[in-house]
Amino acid sequence: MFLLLHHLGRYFLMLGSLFVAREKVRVYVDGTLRETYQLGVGSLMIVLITSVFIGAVTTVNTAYQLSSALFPPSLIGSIVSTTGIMEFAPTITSLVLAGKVGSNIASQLGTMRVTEQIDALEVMGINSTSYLILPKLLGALIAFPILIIVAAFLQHLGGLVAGEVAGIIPSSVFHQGVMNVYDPFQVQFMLIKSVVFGFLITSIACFQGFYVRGGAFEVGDASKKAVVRGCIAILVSDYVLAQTLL
Amino acid sequence: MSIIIENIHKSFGEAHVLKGIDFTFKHREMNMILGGSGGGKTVLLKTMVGLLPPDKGRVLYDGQDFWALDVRAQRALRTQIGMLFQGSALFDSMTVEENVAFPMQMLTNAHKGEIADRVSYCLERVNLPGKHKLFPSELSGGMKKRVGIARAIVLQPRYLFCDEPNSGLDPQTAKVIDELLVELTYEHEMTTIIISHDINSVLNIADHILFLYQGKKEWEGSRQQLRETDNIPLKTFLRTSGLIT
Repeated sequence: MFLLLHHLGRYFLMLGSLFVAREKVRVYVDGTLRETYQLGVGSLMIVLITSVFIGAVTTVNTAYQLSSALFPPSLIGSIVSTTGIMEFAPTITSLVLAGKVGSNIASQLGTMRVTEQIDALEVMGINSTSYLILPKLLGALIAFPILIIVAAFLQHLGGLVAGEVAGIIPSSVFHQGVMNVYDPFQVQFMLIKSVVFGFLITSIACFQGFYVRGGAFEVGDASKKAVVRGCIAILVSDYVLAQTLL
Repeated sequence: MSIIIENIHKSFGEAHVLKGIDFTFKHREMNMILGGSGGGKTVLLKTMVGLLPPDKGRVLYDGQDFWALDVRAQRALRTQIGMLFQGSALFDSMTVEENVAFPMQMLTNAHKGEIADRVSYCLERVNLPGKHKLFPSELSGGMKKRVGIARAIVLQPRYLFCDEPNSGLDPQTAKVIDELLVELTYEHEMTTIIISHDINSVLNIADHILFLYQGKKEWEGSRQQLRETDNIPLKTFLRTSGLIT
């Protein structure tokens, strides 16, 4: 318990230190653009693959469970759309990104720490937390919602194509089902989740990497912890957001 | 422009690493901190450059206590400090040129042309002309050290700290680095502080030596005095290093 409070305290101190003794604004603008590009473009392929297949599998699974004359076929489109927007696009995509982005950030910062690159920044008088972490957080807050919108679109597309190709549901009926249940609040909910998950994944990974002590083994360990803790944070906050906002 | 440390103490848990060290690092001299592994050399250096706050004691730069200054004043003082790290600590994602230019870009309002001129001058000064576009992974150990030195002097610091500048280098390259540090110290009128356990380096370039033993100042003096010392821990250290029999 004491250890948990100790880590939480350090985590919030780290977040607080992002906003004191900052560098020139240009440094953050350049850094944020670079991080947004790396995170966004670098993650596009994995988001594309996972989203298309999740959409396709959801359609097939839903059709299997609703194989009764009591349910109209358009319900498949409605279910794929609602679960995609509200849960699968933000949550599954974020879990995938926690692995890719979280481990990348933790190992990058961890390596900088053990090779004294962070010490070099501090000796120069540069606020190392703000210089290294703030652009990553801002980049994630921009890139995550975009990636998750793309993921939601691709899940719909994957579901629609799988339904048509397998002869489960014609695309026009699928589309009708999507439109029957469309509610703008669902999209707002998805975007809120994407911002929260993006912040948690990035800040946890930065925390794990930035405070590494030791060598290569510890950097690997920090990378693993960044992924595990990032995933747990996503799942817990997913429940809290659902409970609070729905 | 001297640095005075007064009664520096530092502990990590139960381990009392520095036990009340007093010393004056003289201006325009090669000050060397000598000692065995675990003797507290690096911890002392880190308390002096602002990486580790001491538990007790003062680090005075020209009479200003570093650890009593506010963040802004500390930051201003840090621009006068250059440091060469043991592993060079070059930024992997940047080229040689970007590494050397980095402190100027971050901490000054110099324009691009001015930065480029200064970077070229520093790289020529450390005998690395034409290596601007290489990445640290493409450099040898000695070249990395020289880029580290170029980065450390780019802001024309008044104080230069070097943590084991010769570690991992062959004797010939180590000698080149030593000579470069001496030249730069006199040329830029810096107060240079070097941590080393390379006894050849100490005998070649040290003006003023601090010997740490079990977290305390055991001995201080010049390199001439070093050969004639009758301090037992120092003699043992020198004997182990092969300097005396």
